[in-house]
Amino acid sequence: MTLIAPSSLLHGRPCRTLIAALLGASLTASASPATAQQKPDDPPPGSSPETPPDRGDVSVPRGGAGAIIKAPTEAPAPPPQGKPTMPRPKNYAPPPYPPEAEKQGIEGAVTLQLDVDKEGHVAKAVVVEGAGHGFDEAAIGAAQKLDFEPARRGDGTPFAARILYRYAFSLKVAEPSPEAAKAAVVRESLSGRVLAGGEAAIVGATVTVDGKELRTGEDGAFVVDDVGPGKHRVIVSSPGFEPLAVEEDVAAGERTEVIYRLVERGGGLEVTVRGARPPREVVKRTLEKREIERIPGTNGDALRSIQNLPGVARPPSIAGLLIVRGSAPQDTQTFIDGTPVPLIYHFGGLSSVVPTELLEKIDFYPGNFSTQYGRVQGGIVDAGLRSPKDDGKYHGMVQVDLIDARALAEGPIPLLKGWHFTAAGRRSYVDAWLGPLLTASGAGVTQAPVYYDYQFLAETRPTPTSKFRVGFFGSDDALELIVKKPSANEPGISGNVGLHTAFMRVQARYENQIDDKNSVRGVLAIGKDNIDFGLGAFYFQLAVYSLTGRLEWAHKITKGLTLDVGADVFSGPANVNLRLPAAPRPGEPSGGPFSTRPPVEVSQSVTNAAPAGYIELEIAPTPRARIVPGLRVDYTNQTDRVDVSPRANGRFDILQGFPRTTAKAGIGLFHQPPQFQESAPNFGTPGLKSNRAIHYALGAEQELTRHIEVSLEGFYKQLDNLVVGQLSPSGGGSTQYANVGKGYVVGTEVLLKYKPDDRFFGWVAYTLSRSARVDRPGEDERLYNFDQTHILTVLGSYKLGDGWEVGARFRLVSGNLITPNVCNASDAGCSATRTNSLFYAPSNTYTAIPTAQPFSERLPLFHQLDIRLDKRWKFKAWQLSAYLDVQNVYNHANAEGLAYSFNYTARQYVNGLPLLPSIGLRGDF
Amino acid sequence: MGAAKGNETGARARRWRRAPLAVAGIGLLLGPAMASGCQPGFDPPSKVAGLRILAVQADKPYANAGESVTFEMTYTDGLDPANPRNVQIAWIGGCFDPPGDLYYGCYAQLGKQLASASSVKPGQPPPPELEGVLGMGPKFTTKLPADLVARRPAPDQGSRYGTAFVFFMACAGKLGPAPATSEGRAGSFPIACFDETGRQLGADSFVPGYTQIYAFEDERTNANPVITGITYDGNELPDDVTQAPTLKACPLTDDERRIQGCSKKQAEQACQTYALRVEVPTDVAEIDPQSKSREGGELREVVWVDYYVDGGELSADVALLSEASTGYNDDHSVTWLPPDAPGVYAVWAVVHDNRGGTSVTRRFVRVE
Repeated sequence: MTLIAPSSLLHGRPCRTLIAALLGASLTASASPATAQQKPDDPPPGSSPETPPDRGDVSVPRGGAGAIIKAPTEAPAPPPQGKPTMPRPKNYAPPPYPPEAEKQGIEGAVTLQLDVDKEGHVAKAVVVEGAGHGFDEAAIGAAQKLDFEPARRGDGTPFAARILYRYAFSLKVAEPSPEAAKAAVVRESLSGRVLAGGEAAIVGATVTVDGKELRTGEDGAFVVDDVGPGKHRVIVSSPGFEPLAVEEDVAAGERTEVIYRLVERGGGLEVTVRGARPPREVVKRTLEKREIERIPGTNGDALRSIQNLPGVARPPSIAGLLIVRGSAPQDTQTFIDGTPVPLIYHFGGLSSVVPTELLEKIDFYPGNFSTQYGRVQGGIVDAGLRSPKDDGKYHGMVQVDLIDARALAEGPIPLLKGWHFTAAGRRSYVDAWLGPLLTASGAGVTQAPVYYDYQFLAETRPTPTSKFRVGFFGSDDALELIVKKPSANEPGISGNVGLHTAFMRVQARYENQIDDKNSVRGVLAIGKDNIDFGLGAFYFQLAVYSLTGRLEWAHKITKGLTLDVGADVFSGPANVNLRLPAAPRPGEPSGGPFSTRPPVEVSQSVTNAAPAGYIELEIAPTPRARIVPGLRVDYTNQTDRVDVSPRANGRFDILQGFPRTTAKAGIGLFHQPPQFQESAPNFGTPGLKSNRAIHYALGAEQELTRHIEVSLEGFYKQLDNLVVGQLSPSGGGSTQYANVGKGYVVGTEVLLKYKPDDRFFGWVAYTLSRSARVDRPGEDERLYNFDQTHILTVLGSYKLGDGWEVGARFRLVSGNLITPNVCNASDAGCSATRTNSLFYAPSNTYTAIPTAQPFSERLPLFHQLDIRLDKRWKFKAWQLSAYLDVQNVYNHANAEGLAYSFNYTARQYVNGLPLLPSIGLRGDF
Repeated sequence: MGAAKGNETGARARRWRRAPLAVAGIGLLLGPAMASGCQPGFDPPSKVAGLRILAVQADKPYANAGESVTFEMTYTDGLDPANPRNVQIAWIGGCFDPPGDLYYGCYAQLGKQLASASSVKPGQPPPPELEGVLGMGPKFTTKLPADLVARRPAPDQGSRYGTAFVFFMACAGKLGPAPATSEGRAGSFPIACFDETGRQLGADSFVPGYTQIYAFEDERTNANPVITGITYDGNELPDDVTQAPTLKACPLTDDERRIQGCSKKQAEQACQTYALRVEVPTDVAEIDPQSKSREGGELREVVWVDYYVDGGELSADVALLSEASTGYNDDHSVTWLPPDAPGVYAVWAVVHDNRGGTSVTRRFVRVE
């Protein structure tokens, strides 16, 4: 028999410290468990003593008493694969200290014999070595609440086992002085667990925090107290696993809990799950890499996976749009590593402009975002790039599928000590099959559609607390066709069709934790965006040169009070040349083919200047509460106005620890400058104001189990000052823009999520919303173009074993809105003899006369099932992965629009993508 | 024993995995077939099967302010060629520079004009304000106001212009006010067509439409494009019906030809087809003074042809004759699949430029 004394779970400990100190605790007591495992047949796992985690003389008051956390006296190495394993506790709740014993100052230890069944439940608990004074009852009561990872044979089959389990009850008699209590209050700690996947703890893993080394206990737990606020370098390693190096940001006066999952050597990508530090925002959603890579229907594309989250509408078929909470696509700003970029998807949303392998995280804010972001009134997507690996080795990855191929290499930079690099690139194959297809359909192809993107990062750490990175990344999409057949609806447009979009950024980032109270981070980038569109004799050319930057200083004023001050700027010249027919105004029915109208020609250069400053206070009056008021001040020469945007967000943990219950709320003002074409002289209408939105949010989060969490958010966006085009009062057919539009978006989002374990992940996301606009004063309210009432996404992925994983995604979404030109024959009042169109003689086409208001008919309900099958083969020095991703498995004909007969006497649905399989291969070393 | 159990477990797991693999494999194989569909489409615009307006030609596609412009309509009734119907043609002009240059911006003006027209007693001449506003028959003349251009604001770039709208309608019955129907922001057309019993007729018996004339301050002009003829397989089609060539019928019925998708019959292989082609001068497109390429070079009009037939089927409805930058396009023939019924059939070619210019010609073929 071997006694193993694990470290107990430490989650929430500093919170209790704070509460106890506030209550002026004078006596502390503790209860810490220790398991004594006894394997029925085989010898117990290794029992060599390990150095206990260096956590100092930790005292954790609990209510009027406290708990001394016993260090593990033994920490066996994880059993080798194929060997039997003994039960391992998955949860822990400390037993109550018997009041009488505590009053009398009695300590004790109880050893129990537990029968753990194949499901991991405690079937029977018997006292083997008792201590009396109520300790035995307390220990049995606590043990009966334990859940275990069951004992498993070498082939993984669970079996019932009998083990010994020991609880130690000890008192701490030292009364903390007021100074000590105060010190305890302000201590910041970093604690967590190291897992091999799911709840399989890694015992004895080495956790190095800022050079200070400690080992994990029986349940993989560790704790570091007094780490101080700011950023800390954490390295986690264990034999047989890939080391993990991360940076943790510990907020002033708060605990930070994390879970690190190590990946077996050659087992795939590292995954880091951020712990319990509350975000500044009401809703901040973060996807894990395994989730990103395995969501069916996305081909493993990170940014496409955002479309499965609550609040994100399903875009029209093959449209790479991000529609957040009923807002227009241009109302959501996308960033790469803190630098704004004009687009996030390649052609039609086939893939995103940053490869998944280069991402560290995607932060998605559907609303009520912090004052550090501005100039948009919808949402924010910030894709963070990860640091190059710094283990001294070179690594690489190659992936090919039917759409594109990509490669990545990283490692140390020769001759530059301390510098590491990542280089990645991707090129599409679309030209290989779409080019011949278009040629066969009668279109001559000059430049087959092709896209590529590239990224290069170089990083170093000038000091242990700072990091400097330079980056160069960009994207390019191009296509050019010769169309010999005029369009039936726009026969005046013929000739070459060309589209080229590109952006490039050169970026420098710097972060430094100057001292315990001050940190600074900044990012500066120069870049160029190009949009070049040609259609016969019409063209649109836009070149934007940009200088963007952000500098933020965080200063801890006192305990629970941190000040964030920052500035960000967007500036640079833009050149536009266009020759286009006048665009229709919102809600305006077609006045006939636009290609026969006199075109508008503009050639113009403008210089954009949009500086902004923001200030934010992070107020944590207790560890349970956090209020973040902030103020942002924006100026843009587009409007020549200053926009002031006050915002406030707050969170409160109604119940701390497990199961956590959190309430949250936010309110804020958001300004979005007019679009370039709306405000530029000779092009739009100078003198406009910014679009304005007020975001309200109220929600709650509830942990149901260790793996399942549900969140519920209600939101309301009040929109006004919306820039809308209307007829110019000066006559003619020209358009004048004005801040006359109003609207609102209201809705509820629910996310029921099963966090990834070693087998399964999945979630159910549902959004109920309504987005409406009043385009001009006196007009009726109408549903906004992108309104979708119901959005339901159910997805999950399960590891079958032997490298196989299968996943499925089902979506049920309200149909998109359309403006009907022919009434639906099944509708009451639909007249078969109504005049639905007028013959337009100059082009022999028919001009539709809509039967109803703009966007007043909804297409049928969209539903689709996608499945994904992955297989991974491991080799000694590398691994090979293959996947099959099948979209629309049951080939449902989802309506994406309406087609009409040439004179608008009949209509039929245009269906979206049919059953579409896709395969891919990937190699990593 | 343990090894045996392990093998059994492994076999069970393998069998378990076969299910999704089999589903995926079957889906991969059957997917393309399931996805192709066999849905019939709409009739093409080139098929004349009812009352159709084929062209409305203005003698001055670009007129000057104060000038008169004459319009001529070409129409045909293909609903039942054996029993031709009486077709009523009406014109309504007098709409100049409506709000937004949108046709439905004319409705307010039209309402006033129609009210004035209703007060005219039969046999009396229309009042002066209705001269050039109302007309009947295939031709109609209207006069542009002298201040059509001058009353509009000057644009930031380009020549100032004004525009006039003329509405027309062809009715195989009797015109009358339209009953109220559902409508969007463009409203609904206020006139409808009724048979002798008062039943409202549909789109195969009533075709309303409009045309637009631009007048520019720089007094630019535009000529209607020139058509020299129509050929079939390189042979000229005569405009005299008595000299129409005799071509071979295709026995496939219309329904058989409409079937698309996985079970489509290759009609082109089963029947003899003919290449139809409108003949135009290679310089059919004029220089467009308002258009410049992005490099600043001159651009021409875009010119295209709309083909129509009252029997058989065309491979395309529209063909490009001249592109703005590359000029004349010689590859503009279409393939005609003759009908299954013998008879004399008409072929129309309506040539347009993108500045309002229109020309039309008709030829006949005999099918046996």
